[in-house]
Amino acid sequence: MVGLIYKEFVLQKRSLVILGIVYGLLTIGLFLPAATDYVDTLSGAFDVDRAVFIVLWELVMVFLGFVVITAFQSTIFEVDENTKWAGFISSSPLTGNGQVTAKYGFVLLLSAFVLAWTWITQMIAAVVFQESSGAMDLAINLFYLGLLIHALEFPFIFRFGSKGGKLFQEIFIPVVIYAVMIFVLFGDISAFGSVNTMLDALFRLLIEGEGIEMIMPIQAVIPCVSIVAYAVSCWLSGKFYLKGIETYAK
Amino acid sequence: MQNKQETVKRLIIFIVLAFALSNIPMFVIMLLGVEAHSYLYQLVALVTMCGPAIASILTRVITREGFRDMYLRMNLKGNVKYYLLAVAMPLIYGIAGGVLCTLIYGGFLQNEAFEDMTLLFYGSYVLYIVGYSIALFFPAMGEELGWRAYMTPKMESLMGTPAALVIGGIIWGLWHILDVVYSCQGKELGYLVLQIVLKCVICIAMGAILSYFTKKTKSIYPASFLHMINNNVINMMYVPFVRNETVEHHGLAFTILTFIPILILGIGLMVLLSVESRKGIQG
Repeated sequence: MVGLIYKEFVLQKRSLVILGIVYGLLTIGLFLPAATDYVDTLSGAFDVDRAVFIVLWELVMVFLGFVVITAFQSTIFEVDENTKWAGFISSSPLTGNGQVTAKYGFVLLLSAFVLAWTWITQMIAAVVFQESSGAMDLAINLFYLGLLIHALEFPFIFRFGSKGGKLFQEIFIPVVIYAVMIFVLFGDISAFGSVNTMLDALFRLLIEGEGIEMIMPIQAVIPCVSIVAYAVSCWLSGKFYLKGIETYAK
Repeated sequence: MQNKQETVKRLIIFIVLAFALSNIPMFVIMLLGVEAHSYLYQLVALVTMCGPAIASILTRVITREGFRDMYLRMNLKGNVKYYLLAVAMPLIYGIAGGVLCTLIYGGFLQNEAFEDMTLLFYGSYVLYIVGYSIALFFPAMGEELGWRAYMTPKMESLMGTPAALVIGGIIWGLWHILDVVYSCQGKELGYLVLQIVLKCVICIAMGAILSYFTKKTKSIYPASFLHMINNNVINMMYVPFVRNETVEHHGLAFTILTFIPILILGIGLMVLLSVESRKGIQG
């Protein structure tokens, strides 16, 4: 199993280097306003409070990091979609379950590493800016949300191959976007007020914790659901692996 | 004999490195007058938690021991129950400690915090912090990699399980010394000494609990989760059971009361581990 996870690191070496560069740039981006001493200038230019500016800046960095890692993780399956390799690993003592578990383990390791990186940079940012933001809460939620998305997506990839599995993304994401659009166009959004009111509410939540009591039960449930879903998804993918091999190109 | 000498040498190198790597940065920020619980203090505390892990790796390199038996595999097969139990354990002994306090001092759900907070919010918050601790368990892993995965097995080979857990716990407790000094600033010397003794006692019990999970699963992850959840959640667990004034007026008695369930559990698991280890030797 450890060997298979090591194989993932070797095969994804180039992508990992690119990811490292992207995260390096994100980290530099995070500290850029402090290094150039422009926090006050920039927050003044955008007419926002210093704390709000830092939170906004850190949120953008965390969210960009999440998008990059989630997009990368979905591409790690293509390299193994080969009937010879699939036949070999299925007949080895590790079986197809070992292959599936290694993929899940690799994705989990990568997500945990990115989260740890984010945590450390956020802590350094707090020391540098002398301002703590709620960005880490967002990072934790995105980490578990990422696991949940993968838990839903990976069984499709194992059953129908990476091309077939992408149908999940192609269907699921537009469905969510259309649902939001329909709600915005025809639903009752008076409770949200204008975009400015929503942003105000977001910053008050992140900086002062205002309205946290509404979100906390959801935040509490997401980790439990994600962990269980990820484990169940891994088990299901193991069941689907042999059937999925039939869909690979020879 | 040669093996024993080699093990003693490795242990000494590890302990010296673990103390130096963690306590020197702490000492420096203390000299600089950095306030406890400031952002810088939190960052340094986080880094120092990784000291024992770095010490164990350095010791392995210096003594050419190699990197076997680092307990880095998850070993989930057949051990899921231990993982679940490790996550639930701090909540269980936290509630037990809280109930003990309520039985003696009263004040269930009368904490001032509940004036602005519902029980649903409190429960959700505790669960969220558990999720948070599982996701960000790596500082605790830094300690477990050193204390439980490196030091304890070596001490066991020298002096047997019970002595290893007790002496290992004392060493672990003393490793926290600057943290204790930080929290006792402005207090009398007697109070500081008492806090250090209490720290060692609780570290012996916690060390036994954490060693139990590490030995059962041959993995450091359950102990790391337990350790991190304990660090982040334990003080929160007592909130529904006591009033703030109870903590202020009966600080020491409150601390000792909350230690009792951990001590009982720790002693129980220490006995269990000792019996199993003796059976293993006889077998």
